[in-house]
Amino acid sequence: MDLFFWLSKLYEFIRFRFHRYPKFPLLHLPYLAIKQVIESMSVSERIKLSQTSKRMATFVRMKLPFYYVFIRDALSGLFMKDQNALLYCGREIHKFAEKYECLTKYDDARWVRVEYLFSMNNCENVKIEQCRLNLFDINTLIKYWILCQRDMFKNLTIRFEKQDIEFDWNVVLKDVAAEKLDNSSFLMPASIMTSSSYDWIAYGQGFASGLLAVVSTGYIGYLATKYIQKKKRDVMLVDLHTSNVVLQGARVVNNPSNMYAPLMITVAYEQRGVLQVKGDRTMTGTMYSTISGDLCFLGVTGSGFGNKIGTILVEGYYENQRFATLTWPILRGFAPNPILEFQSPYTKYLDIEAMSTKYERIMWSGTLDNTV
Amino acid sequence: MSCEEPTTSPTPENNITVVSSDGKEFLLDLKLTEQSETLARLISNFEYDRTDVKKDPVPLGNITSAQMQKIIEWLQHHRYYPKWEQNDIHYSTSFTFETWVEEYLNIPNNEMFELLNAANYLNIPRLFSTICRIMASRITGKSAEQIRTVLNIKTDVKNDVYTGIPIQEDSSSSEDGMSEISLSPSPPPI
Repeated sequence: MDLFFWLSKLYEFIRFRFHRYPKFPLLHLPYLAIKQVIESMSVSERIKLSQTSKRMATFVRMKLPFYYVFIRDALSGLFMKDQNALLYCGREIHKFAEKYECLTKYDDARWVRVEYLFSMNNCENVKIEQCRLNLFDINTLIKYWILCQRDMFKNLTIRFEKQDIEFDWNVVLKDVAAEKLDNSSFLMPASIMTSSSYDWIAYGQGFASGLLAVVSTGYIGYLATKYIQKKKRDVMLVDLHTSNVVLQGARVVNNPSNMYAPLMITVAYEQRGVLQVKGDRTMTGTMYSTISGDLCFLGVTGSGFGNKIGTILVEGYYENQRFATLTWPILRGFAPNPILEFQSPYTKYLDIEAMSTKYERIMWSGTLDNTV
Repeated sequence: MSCEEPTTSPTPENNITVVSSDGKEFLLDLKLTEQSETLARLISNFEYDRTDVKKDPVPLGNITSAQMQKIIEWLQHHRYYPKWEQNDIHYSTSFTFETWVEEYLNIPNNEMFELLNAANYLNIPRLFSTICRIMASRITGKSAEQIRTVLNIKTDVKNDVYTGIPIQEDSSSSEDGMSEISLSPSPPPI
């Protein structure tokens, strides 16, 4: 019996090793049949299928029959919503939706180290909360961001876990060529060159709302941003939305409406980027982030950002510029229940259920009524 | 889905003859052909449903006798099933199948490929959809490399998307993999 068992195992091994296994040559089917087979696959299989070859990726690129994709665990969420959203696997996408937003949010980002942030590339909007970075890390990040030759992100929001961090510009802007501005300083000389990408860095009280700013060109505040957008100049703006320059995360003294709004650092990308530090109530009131529009769902990547945990990489284009966002950690303690508050008759949720440290499967919730 | 089979005996009037690519003739009940859009349209066009019309054998050059036998088995089983309806926007893929279907499609991948081609040619949507889902379920949980092997996809990616490790060219998963696919009733040599 044992001998027969091992012989059969050996036979299977040889068959598989030498590719004598009966195959299903998918690409030899008619196009509609290929499409039907691919549409029958789950999203995770489509992702893997698109990785098999470039030619296959073009077949996989098709509109999925759902409007909402929702991936979350108990702490973090990635919510994609758009009626024209195109979600598929591949390296490139075409734009269907006119307007969309993209946010990736990590509610529990205690695992994030500053090195992870370095690996961001073309990210749209990333929010990191409860992170354990300190001001030295922020300083390192700013310096890295200034010198980085690639576009790291458009918006980066960081909230700190510790509530009593004293925001010290001397630390945050250490070794960064910057100049303090006051409200009346609108025009700045472009004499201080910090890098090939940044003409100028300055900081000071903002124009409109008491901002502390680091600006690479001559203007600060909203006017500065608009001006810089118009001029298409690189800008990096650290914008602290309070006179209380302490990143406590919970209290904004001069603005009762923002009482529970943690302070955050937002790095917005405008041509090159805008770095802002501000309290934002609308952001803090959002439990789940929204990603919509043209998305390229690339699945879990084990390298780069969050490689120890596993992340989901989403790539897309924003105004013809490619971006990539990452979310984590869908792999731990995932709650498979979809959020129902957005449900509509045309809503289908895509949930990811993790069985181990490896990305396992994507589970649909909805009617499974096509049993043959 | 229930299917009560009434006791009806086929009569020569409500039969047509189809001829497979290897020349074997099969007698098909007209009721069965309703599941195949190709055959149903052909019967309608030639008015084979009328008793006073001479029914010539219908040649099916793309389908072997083994495939035809398999298809007739499917048609017989689904004889009294309700008409297949196209899935709407609420459609979601299910990998749950009847026991009979699982046994029926418990065949090697290459035979599945032939059957899918035949179902596509005869336009039997229920069978077509089922095979697609069965095939999709078979690659569930497989890695990209294994999928590449099973689906006989030629590698045109030099490096892995994420790891950057060069992907080794799989010589056997090239286009000539079709040579392993048998269009004959006998299984391919292994």
